[in-house]
Amino acid sequence: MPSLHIAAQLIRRTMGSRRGVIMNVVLPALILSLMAGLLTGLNANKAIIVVNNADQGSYGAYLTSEQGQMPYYGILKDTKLSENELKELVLAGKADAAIYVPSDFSSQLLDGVRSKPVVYQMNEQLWNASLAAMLSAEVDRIYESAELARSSETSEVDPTLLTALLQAQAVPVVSAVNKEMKLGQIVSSPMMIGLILMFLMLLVSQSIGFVMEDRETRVMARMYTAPLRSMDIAFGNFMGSMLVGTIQLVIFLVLLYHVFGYSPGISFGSLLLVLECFLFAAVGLSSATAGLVRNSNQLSQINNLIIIPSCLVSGCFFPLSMLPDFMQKLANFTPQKWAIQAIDQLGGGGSYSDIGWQLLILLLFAAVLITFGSVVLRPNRTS
Amino acid sequence: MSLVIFRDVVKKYDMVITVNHLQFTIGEGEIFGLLGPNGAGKSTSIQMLSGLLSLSSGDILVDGFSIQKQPLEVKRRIGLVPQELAIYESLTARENVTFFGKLYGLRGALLRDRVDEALQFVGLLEKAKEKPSTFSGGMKRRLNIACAIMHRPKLIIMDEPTVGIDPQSRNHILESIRTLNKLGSTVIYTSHYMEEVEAICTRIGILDQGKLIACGTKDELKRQAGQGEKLIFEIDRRSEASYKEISEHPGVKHLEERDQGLTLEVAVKESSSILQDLLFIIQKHGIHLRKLTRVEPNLESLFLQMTGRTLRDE
Amino acid sequence: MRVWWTTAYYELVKISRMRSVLAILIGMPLLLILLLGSAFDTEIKQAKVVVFNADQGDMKASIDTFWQEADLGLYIEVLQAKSANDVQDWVREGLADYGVSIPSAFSEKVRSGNAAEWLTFEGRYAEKNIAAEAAVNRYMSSVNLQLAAIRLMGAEQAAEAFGQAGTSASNEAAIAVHNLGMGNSRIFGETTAIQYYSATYLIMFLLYGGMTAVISLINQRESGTLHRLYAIPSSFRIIVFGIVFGACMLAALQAIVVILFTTYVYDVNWGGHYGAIALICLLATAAGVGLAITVASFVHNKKSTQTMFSIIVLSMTFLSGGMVTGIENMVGGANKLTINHWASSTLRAIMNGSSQTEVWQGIGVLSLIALGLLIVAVVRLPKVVKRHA
Repeated sequence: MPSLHIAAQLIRRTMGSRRGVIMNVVLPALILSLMAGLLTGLNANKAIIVVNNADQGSYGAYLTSEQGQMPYYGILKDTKLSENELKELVLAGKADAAIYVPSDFSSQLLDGVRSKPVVYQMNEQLWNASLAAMLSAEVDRIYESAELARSSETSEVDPTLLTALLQAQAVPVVSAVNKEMKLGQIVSSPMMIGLILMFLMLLVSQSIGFVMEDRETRVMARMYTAPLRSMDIAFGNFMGSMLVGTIQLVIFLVLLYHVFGYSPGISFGSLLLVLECFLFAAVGLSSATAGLVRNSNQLSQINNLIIIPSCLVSGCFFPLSMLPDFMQKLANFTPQKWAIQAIDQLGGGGSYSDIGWQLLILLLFAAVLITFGSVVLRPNRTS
Repeated sequence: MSLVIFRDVVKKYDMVITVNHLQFTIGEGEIFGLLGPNGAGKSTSIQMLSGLLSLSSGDILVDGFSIQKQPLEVKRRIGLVPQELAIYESLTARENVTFFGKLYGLRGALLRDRVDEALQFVGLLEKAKEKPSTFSGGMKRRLNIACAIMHRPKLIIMDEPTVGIDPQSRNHILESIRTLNKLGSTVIYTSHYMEEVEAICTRIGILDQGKLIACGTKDELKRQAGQGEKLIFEIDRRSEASYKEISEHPGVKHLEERDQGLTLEVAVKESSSILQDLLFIIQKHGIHLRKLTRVEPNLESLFLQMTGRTLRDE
Repeated sequence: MRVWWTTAYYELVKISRMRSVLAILIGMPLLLILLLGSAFDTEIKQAKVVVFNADQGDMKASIDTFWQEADLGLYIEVLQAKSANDVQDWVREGLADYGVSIPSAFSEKVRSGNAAEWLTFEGRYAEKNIAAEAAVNRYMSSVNLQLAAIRLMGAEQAAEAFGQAGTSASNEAAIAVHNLGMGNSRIFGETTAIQYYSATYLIMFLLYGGMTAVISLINQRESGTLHRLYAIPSSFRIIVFGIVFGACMLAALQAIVVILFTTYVYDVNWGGHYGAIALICLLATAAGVGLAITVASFVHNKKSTQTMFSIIVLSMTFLSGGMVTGIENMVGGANKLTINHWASSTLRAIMNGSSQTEVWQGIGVLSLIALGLLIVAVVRLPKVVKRHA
């Protein structure tokens, strides 16, 4: 099987030397492990909100207890801190937001005057805007309750009725029940998988670069004078690029799963399957690119122009939803997006039938691009 | 028995014809020289023969197999030494030869033996573990040859194997071609160095502008051109009498005067029989001979005569 | 002077022939700035909430109205699904960030005084879940309040009280929110995302521009043309300096194009002190050249120089927060050892109009770094330009 020798040759050239092992295996693995370490550190940070309920009366407690029900904040209550101290905490970056309920909240409430709770934050973001919206809805509700309990004749609030009203609401009749959806974690924090995808693309482009070099030095023509068909050579080069990617992929995954203990919630085999499909598309993309340029030197430069931006647009490093809509649509034309989506689905407990569509798209990418790129992989008989 | 048959071969690029109805045969055991200036169609012919280029029309047979219908059978029988150094700089000499050996389907002990044999043959066995990046130009050329002969091809094609190397390496290469030929391989040798082709080839084809303008053994070609030897006398003074006497000698075909009569170019049928006579005539007239040169007919002059152009300096 | 100018000029000509290199040195920063700047721009992106209201009872209308009003707000965009299954699918596929499904028996259960529920489906992003949940809670609170009132006060009295309270109810803000940060976003300090990345990537690619000079030197050494220049009756150092200077002009071109393009196309505000900006660019380029010569003097061949230099520049960019923002606070001050940190942070200081002292302090440190690297480079230069040194 002459194709095997050609494939083996390609593997030897990418990973056969000390330099090759360092650049193509050790260095990416190091970066991935570094990122794995950093990311596990970053993942667990819920927003910290310091609360001081300075209210002399009892109604302020209804406000602050309400926040405790939210699962996303790591609320830290500390009634001892003054308003200024809370502000300092936020400014120093030790807390993400601070809520201060003034001491006259209850007394003013009964008088029908608003004593406003204060929220401190660095700047407005979606999460803290929502926190503020929720808090203000609660304040409104307490005021409305107070107004309901205000007798129309005396304009005095009936404290018993108010407490009863508030307590009745504490056991809500209508509520929202969250249904667990089991969504994957990859689309929302894609860094790790994204880096693997990027390294795979870089490596594949390098092996295609070697194939280009073979064309330039006429080694490929020489191969063709051996009793081989053009297809044998093309297949050998294709298989070589795939094998180079696969070997590196397996090394990465073994390191990640067994040495660094990273777990995306997907079995080793399933992840490998999806990434193999992606590899097909990557080989296609790289060889199609190679078809557009004249020499291997240009190829490496053009590849930088394609790989890094396409990784950014396709949500390899940050969630796709952060991008403007038109760029999200653009992402549909990158294979990375579909690989990430497939892995995400699997991570959320999906079965292979759920990702059939994504894998099909990846293979379609591969088929179309390889058709364009096959010119590069095989010796030419016409010019 | 003809090993290679070019049968009315035509190659067109777009509308330009680079090989024009080429037709010739190469017998088994020959060293066939393909001669011609740059762009004559030598490389194109070689590439078609080794399957690298498709034919526009016609066919090439090697050992009875058609390059178009049974390319793999043809390729099994040939070893191409390309003009470019098509070797891997990053692999050792042995790894290079082994890789190509594998592509020819050799394996195991046979592969090892043949690789050793090929490296031994080109004198690189001691350097087998070194990378070509440390080699001199000549050594790289030799490795280039080793990669093409390890499968003991019936037909070895050498495409300008001596371009840009030192005389020693060149001699080594020419010598090894002779040896390969003695060992039973037929060799096709392209070059635009006349001396090389004259020195080693048994038959020669001359290509110009895609056409075969002459083909045969060296002697046949010379006869074809109707060329004989030439004697050049450089003398110290002109003498009308001696001029007349020489030109009337029956062995002289043609006489020409240059340098105000101080140089006489004499075309003769055969120098050995009339040299004595001519020297006598000169002495008789009291003329001193400064220098005598005998010029054998060569391919250079043949080519010049046929095309009106020189082979080099294109 | 003439020799110097001639070498510099031909260096520029040679660089301008390398189209793909130019495309990368100028196109890449612009592309990266656009991508990262728009990805991390701090404009609040609404949470997309997909809603399916199956309720056929008397609360259907009020629920629909509620979502219509929510849709008008800043934080939520409401999508209507056709079935309860759609809601789940949209969330799973990421078409929506949060799903709400209202069962058909909702009104009925509420009327009969039983506990009634909406089904919600959380999506992938915590902050969007929070926003959607806040909206859902708002509805729940108001219904619960009404139900509590009816239970305790009787339906009629409650309705009357609501009528009264409704008039006095708030047009007034219920709470006070104070933003302590000056700019829009915490992670980018006091600049916007696109300003942040403009500064970051301008500097990173200026450093790469420095590498171009050294690669040119190595190329010329390997092809022998540099050797040939030895033979010219002029100081060899002048010639080398000319070659390096040619590449610096490329860097200047890079800086000008990036700054003009970002200013006019991306609307980036560079803060206006163009003299100081030019000085920073010059110092960054000089530091880049110095670093590249130093690297080249140790690793000898072209490919290794490129690789080593790329690794160093990318690590410096990473450490100084150019790729993952906020990383600079987690690396224990290692960011302060990078060229990128001093150059980019000073550029940002100019952008947000910080005090002159802060700007000049940054420039001071940067010039010290550049000077240090240049001294090392001059000492090591013979190793780079001579074939057998």
